[in-house]
Amino acid sequence: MRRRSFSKGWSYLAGAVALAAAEVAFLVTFNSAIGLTAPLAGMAPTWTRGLPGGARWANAGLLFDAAIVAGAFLAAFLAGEFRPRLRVYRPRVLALALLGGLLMGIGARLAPGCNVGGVIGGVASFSLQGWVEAAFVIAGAYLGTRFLAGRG
Amino acid sequence: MPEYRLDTVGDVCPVPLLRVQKEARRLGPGDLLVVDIGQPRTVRNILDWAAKNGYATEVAPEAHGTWRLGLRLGGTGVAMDVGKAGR
Amino acid sequence: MPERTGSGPLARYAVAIALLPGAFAAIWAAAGSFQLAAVWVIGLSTGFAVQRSRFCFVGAFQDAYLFGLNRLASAVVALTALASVGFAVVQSVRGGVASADLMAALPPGNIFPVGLHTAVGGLLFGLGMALAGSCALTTLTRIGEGAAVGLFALGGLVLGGAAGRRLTAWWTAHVGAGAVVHLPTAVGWPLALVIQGTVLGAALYWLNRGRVGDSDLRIDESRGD
Repeated sequence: MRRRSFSKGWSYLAGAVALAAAEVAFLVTFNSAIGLTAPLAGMAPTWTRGLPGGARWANAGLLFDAAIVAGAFLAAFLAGEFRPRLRVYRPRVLALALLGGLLMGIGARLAPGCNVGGVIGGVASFSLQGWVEAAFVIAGAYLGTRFLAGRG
Repeated sequence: MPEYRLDTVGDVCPVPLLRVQKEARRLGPGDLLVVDIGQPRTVRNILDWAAKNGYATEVAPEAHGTWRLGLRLGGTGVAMDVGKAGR
Repeated sequence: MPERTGSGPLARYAVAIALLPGAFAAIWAAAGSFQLAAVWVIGLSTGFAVQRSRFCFVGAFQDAYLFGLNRLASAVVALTALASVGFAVVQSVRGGVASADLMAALPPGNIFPVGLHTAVGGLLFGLGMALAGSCALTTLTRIGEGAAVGLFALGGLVLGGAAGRRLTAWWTAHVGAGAVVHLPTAVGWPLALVIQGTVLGAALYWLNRGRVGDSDLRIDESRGD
């Protein structure tokens, strides 16, 4: 094994630069910021609507989400960090993940957008919606974190 | 020199570090806290927190995607051999 | 004993080649579309970068709020600032693009209507991501790392998404669709850039307050980042 200890990986700032580059590359290609949650709700994401060929783009959103999973798998696999895991999770952790996912799914349609599509993509697009969503996502995270940390 | 154990492999952030934070308060000089971790982000999270709060740490990979982290009060370069810690 | 499974050098290269150039070429050939292949490449790079940098939006908030670790939150602000610069250039160069939704010319980007729905939706999303321990992006990357807990969050996103579509349709009909506000269109580019720069700059300053001369900083830095 090459790996003697834990690799911290890239710096957070390098991650930020890479994500910003992905956002801008996406904007240049699709005239839209990245969106992740619309295809999970069975919708064609807004970024596919202006593209030539119409209907055949309906599943491109799912392809993008799948590509993110594949990219994380590739990175983890190459670093020797990939490990399929299910049985270690207690029911409470799985239930919270399901509940949290449900709330995120509803919120992401209403707001609209997740952290990537609504907040980062919205703020970077100079859209007021992005700023308002950012403020309320932080407020929601504050409530959820207090609950998790047992602070009421 | 007691050795405390914590298994966070089935936990999701921020629970692992919350548990480590709580356990670490019990540490006296020379005591060792051994934490099993299953998420790379969690390892980094605990390392950053430990560095900021003056704990010495050492990480040994257990298997793919699994790490064992040793934590002691103060100082740096404390030999822990966490990889060999009893299980 | 530590178990060491799979991933010899050969397996690593095979997976890397299959995922990147292989899939890129396959998609381009099958769909005859460069853009569809670009979907794959940008998505793959995004997932790769998030896994390697241990980037996490939930972690950014929780590290700062619970543990006084502000570095990840600073990186999120830096990401927003960097993307804003790139978006400002693209928006100024390209100007308005026809939007099927609003029948109005909007600059490129995610410029959605703002209203009470944004507040409620954002609150629900923030609450959900804190409980699940991952947002949509990190749910996907955790699944890539093999963490099946991510599949539960993904299932929630799918079910909640279906419910959210109905709720949004109801909301639009009975409460209102809100208004689209693109700041540079409303107040002009110079003022919009000043506002954006000031808010993001203030956030960065606030997150890094007290860092200079902080003895923790030296230890922190010596670990590398």
